[in-house]
Amino acid sequence: MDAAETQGPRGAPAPPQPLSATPAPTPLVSVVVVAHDPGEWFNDVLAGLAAQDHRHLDIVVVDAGRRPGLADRVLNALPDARTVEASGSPGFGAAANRAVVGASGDHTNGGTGPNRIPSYHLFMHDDVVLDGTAVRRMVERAVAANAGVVGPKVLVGTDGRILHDMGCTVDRYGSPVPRLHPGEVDQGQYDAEPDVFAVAEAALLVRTDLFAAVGGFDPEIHFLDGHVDLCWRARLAGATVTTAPTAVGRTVSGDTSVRRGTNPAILRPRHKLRMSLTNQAPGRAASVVVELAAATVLGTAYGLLTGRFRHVWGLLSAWPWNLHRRAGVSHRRRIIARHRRVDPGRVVAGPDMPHHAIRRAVTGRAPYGTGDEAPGNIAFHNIWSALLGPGGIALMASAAVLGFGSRHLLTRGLPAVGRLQALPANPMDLVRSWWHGWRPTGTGVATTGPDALALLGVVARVVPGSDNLIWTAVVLAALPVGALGVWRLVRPVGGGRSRAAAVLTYLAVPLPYDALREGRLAPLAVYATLPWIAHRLAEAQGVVPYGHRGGDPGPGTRIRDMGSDILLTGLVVAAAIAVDPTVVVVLPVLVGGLVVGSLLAGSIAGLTRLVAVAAGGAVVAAIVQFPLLIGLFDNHPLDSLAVPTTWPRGSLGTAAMFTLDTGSPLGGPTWAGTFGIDRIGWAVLVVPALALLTTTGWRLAISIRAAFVVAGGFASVWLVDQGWWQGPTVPPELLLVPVALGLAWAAAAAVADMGTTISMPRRGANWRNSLPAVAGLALALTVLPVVIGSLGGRLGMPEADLPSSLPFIAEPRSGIGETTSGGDNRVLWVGEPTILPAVGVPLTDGPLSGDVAVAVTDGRPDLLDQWPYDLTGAPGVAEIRDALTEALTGRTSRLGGAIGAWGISHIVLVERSAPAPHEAVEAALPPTYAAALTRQLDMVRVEGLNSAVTIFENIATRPVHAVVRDRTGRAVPAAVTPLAYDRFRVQASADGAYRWILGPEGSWSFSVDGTTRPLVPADEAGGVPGRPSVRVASGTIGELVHDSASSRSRRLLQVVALCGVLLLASWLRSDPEPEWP
Amino acid sequence: MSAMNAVRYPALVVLAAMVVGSTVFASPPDPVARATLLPPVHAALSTTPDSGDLWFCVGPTVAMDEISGRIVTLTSISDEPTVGRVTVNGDNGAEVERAFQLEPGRSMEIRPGPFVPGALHAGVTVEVPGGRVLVEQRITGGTTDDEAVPGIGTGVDEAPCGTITSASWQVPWATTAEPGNTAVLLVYNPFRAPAVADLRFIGDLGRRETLDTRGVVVAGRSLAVFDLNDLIPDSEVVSASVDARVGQLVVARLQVADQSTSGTGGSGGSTGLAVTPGLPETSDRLFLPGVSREWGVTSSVVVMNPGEDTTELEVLVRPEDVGAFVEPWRVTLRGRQRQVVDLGSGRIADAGRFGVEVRSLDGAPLAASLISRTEGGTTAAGLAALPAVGAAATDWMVHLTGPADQAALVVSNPGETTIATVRLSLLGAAWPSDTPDLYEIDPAGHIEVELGAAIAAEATVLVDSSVPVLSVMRRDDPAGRSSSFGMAIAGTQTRPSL
Repeated sequence: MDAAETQGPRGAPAPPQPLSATPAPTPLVSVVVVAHDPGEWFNDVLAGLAAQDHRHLDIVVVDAGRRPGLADRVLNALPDARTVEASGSPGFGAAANRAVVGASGDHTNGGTGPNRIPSYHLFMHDDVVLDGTAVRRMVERAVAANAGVVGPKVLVGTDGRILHDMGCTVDRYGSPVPRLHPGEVDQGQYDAEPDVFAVAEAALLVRTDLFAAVGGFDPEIHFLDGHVDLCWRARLAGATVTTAPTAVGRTVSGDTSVRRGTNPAILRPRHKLRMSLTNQAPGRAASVVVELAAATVLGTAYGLLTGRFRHVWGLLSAWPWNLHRRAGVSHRRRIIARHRRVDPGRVVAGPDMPHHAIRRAVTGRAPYGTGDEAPGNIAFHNIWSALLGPGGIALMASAAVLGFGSRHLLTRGLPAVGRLQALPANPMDLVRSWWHGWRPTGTGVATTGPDALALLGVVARVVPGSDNLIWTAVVLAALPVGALGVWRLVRPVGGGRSRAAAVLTYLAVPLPYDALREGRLAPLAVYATLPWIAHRLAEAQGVVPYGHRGGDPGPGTRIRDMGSDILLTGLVVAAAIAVDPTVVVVLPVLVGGLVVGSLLAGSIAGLTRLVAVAAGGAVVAAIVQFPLLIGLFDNHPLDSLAVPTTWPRGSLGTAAMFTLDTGSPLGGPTWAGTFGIDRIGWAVLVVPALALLTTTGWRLAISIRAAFVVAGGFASVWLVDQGWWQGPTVPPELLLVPVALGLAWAAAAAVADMGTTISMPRRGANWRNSLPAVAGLALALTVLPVVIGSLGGRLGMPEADLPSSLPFIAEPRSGIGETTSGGDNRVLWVGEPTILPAVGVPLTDGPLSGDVAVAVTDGRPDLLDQWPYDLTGAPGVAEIRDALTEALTGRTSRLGGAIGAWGISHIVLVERSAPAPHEAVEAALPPTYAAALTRQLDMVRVEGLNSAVTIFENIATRPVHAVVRDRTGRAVPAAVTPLAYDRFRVQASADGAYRWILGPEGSWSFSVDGTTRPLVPADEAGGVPGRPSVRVASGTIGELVHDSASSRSRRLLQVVALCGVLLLASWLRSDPEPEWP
Repeated sequence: MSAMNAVRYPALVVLAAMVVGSTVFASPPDPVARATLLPPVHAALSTTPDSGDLWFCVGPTVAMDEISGRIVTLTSISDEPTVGRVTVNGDNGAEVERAFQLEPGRSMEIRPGPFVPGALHAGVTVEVPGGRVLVEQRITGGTTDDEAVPGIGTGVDEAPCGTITSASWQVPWATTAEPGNTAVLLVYNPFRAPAVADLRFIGDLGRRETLDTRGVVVAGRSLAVFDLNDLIPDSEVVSASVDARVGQLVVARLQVADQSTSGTGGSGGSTGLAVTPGLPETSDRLFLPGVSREWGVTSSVVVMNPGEDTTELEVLVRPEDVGAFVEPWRVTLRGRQRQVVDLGSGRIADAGRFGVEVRSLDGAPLAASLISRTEGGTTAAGLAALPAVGAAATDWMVHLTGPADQAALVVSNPGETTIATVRLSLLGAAWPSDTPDLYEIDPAGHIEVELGAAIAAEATVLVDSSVPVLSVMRRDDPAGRSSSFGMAIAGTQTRPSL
């Protein structure tokens, strides 16, 4: 008879079986049931014992609880059973030991002859109902296998098909590892391998002599692991521990730990340390103790980071707990030593992997198994199933297209276009600029730099390989990251086809490719992060399928509390701001679209929560990015955070807006689309439009919300394009990212709804059957330009960049230890702000201030020069700009002298984003620029270069570091050697006043032999005109150091704030209890 | 929880309204703003302290046989001291740079010759960061310094220096007719970077484009001199074009005529010198104000087609008497050809004073120049060449350095529809009461004001007009004749209206 045959309804005990006609010598089994205030189910437990077909039972019920009346319940069900009081809640092991000892000395109790001493003890918890044959089958199994310990197969009482416990193994550190994982259906999969390390906790049959030999249960282990310890010692004594698969029991009380008020997170670390100390060989025990000490440190950090404070307490308290009970450990080791038959090292040699053991020791969590039914394997199988479905195939095809389309970029690196300039020669300069708050761009400015670039610097330093390729991979990652965000966003909406439609739509819009081509970083950052923000907001709103409001949540939806939603949303927004602060522009569009769409869909469900999470997320992001806020409060204008952008009124136009094919506002009427196909761009609107017209129910609600996200994006672009917005503008690609997101979202709803209606023909008319074909055609047309564009292998980016055309001024900044005469020469870049290789400031103020910008770099531009700054903090740039304006208006013919005072050695007029003849964004400067500069008497036009640039050499430049002679006023270059990012060694080459043209003024100090030299104010006797200086003698060697204390303090606080928010988010997001049975 | 049941039509209505609204309220795109340079005038003067000027003077030095004097005069019209810098570059490579300070209202004379000993020609660059300085030069022919003797080998040229550089220059007229004519082309590069230019010449026998005139490198801060007598010998009319591939240049032509004993050819009898700036731009409308029929003086207009295509043009005479009509000359010019229109042919026998407009009939850009020469047998030196211009200005300054009774101010209204109201005044002095100071000039008309003896020899006349006009100073003294445009006030120049 197998387990299935003995199953009763809902875990009830099976009816008693008739006794065998031929009596056989049956061993006496002493059943010890430790009861701890059991519930109503205990009657079933007792009935199960009463129904056992093994008649030689001596049943003892140990009352370890506090409630009275247990003895009466026992007597009612089992008149022959005894009840023993175990006062003081000694725990399972101690109570069982006490019952065994009490029984052996009780000569007044029933039983005679040889059966007076039981052959086996059956220790049971009070919540397991044994089938009628269970004891007999366990005894038979014990006899047949000559086993010392036998356990039953334990099923879940509420569902007889689900396995509850089939025993366990232990890992290196004594952590029990269940053989099965929760919810696993009993298919006899473990029956063929009955031998286990430890049998099920609920009931274990132990041979009496063995029990006595190993010293019974460890009384210090009250709950949970006493059976493991006992089995462990039994195996050390050479006994076999096995399971009787045909002996079935069922748990009936739910979570035992909760009922008993015990916490595995606290008890288990104590137990495993004690078991290791007791049962392991001395050498191995010492090793395990050391490793567990390290695991305690790591686990404490992990618990603090994830908010599992009871886990932390369990780890920490395990040591004093065991130290306090060290005498018991020694005692038990002596007992084991007397009866040990097996090498301890061979006992703990299960198949478990070491990293799983470490993970259990550190986190208290672990995978339940590694078989086919393991969650990890199931997830892996699910991924493969998804990838091999129609949606997955579409995704793999798109990944292949993008990979093929960017092959030259991935192999040769990203050309330096717009903001996508190369990394500095030392990528850690990105980190230093972030930390010190100072950059050499713009003659030296103190600004709050971007966090993401600092992270990039770390990545470039840590990851081996070419910096340019790493930078390329980071930039191109915006595409898959955005696509993955959309995939997760629409996962609850429908199946693989709908997800594929959404991702294909999102990947097929020209926005990211336009941004790449024009070298715009902010749109790429928004493209990558906005789906994740939208996902957070959708889950925060909690409307079906993203929550319980209006229906059941869809697949992949996680319901979190509001705090967790706020923190996660804030962190995602802060991450986007870390790349470019202008990304916040699109957040009101997204939130507004969701709110308006919800209202017009006829539901206000979750709106309050949505707005609260959005507002809270903004606050969290502001906290994390508070250095930026401090800058704004410090009278820095908002537009100092935005790269100047040219957007003449009406330059974008309706067609480009609706097809999301912005190209460049400078592209003019001849613009033919990002990949040369502009007319089929309208196809991207077809599927989302179908969503509005054909979906129903909650999919219609999603379609409407998505449509108003689209409408919000279009409206913002239209307002700017019509000139109604007079403030600082952002690139059109950035404002259109919400449109792309909304279109993808709506496309998913449309395709999901098509699947529903097609599969239910009675719901829809015949015309609905044509919708999939229409949608498929539209999607094909949408992706066609990208497919064609991928043939070039560069995603529309040029093959060469401007620095390759300017070799003589494209020298990087001098590196650490590299001595130069007078410091690095500077370059003034003039042109349309988008195509300049560095971020500059508008040449003129006013409505069209973005038309032409000027940027100042130290030699070749790099990523350090791509972050906007406030002009008031860069007086050098302000003066250079004014001088250039004077030259352009014909007020001076000595521009070289004016800008040479700031170390400018070259002026470069930039009219293409890449050198000719490569494809590029063109923005011709008015002829007045070249004409005016040609008329300068102290500048020389450098001829024979690419038509993308016009270069003028300044023959009146002066060194950045120089000693000004007293008598002649001549600036003699000083020998300058960078010692660190913001520290220079300077050797004076003449007697006079050493002056440096490094901003910001007043933040630099010059010291000689550790003594700071006094500054001579500008224009005073002994000084130099216009700048502070230091008196030096020829040959003096000193250090010029930038004072960045305030920036470092801010950054430190920012890191603390970020860690605090991360910690809080982790605490709120984590489950309070480890997922450990 | 009830199932979500969304409604469709409110959203559709709102979306449709948004689409309609965006269509209805859409504005047309802004026209692409094309920043354009102001039309060039030969000399544009800054009169505000926040604007500076850069002046370029080219010409011979006294080391040249036919030249007795060359003086560059700097006159301050500022009320505060003016600092600046003068750079002199000789054609022998010499370069001298000096700073100067000019007190308010004072003048300073610079004689370039001694700065660059041995140089036959010199270019002078005057930097005035604060503006408000008039820069002129006076070149006299003869054998003694400053005192040109009327007659053989003499002449005078007095004109403001230029403030313009260009990559393209046209010189419609010069003559190398033998005997007695000397013509050189002066190409001045005042900037640091070398310039590369292509030179084309058109003589009586046609074009001359040889390798030695292609890709000519003019070093930075240098003056290149091309002897037209060598390049195009014995040609009645020599025209030249200078196109800089790289850089910007200042181009002028020095013409010295000594043909008092010659009675042949169109240039017979003319004597004098003229340093005439080239035309920095071509235009389909060109103006030559201040022509008069005088005894012993012949005037002609040389029109040049610098383009490659054949063009048709008219030479229109604008008499002072608006009722008079002169039949225009209609000329057809092939590409890179020029033609001389003799204004003394009898067609304008009674026209008196008049202006000339050269107008292309098909919009092709043209270049032109007015040449006035004394006829054979006269004793006065008289060669004046006035480059035609296509731009006018509302405000002018005309500096008078010689006797006022020998000078006449011509103000011409090139517009064809608007009457110009012109007020004349003197800088720092009162306008003479016996001379009207307010004039109305009919469209295409002009006035000629004899400045008379009431005005001091050193005076600056201010011309303030309601519409763009042209101001020309004509001098006719015994030493020679000269004619030159005044100095426009920077920023007031524009194209005349049709």
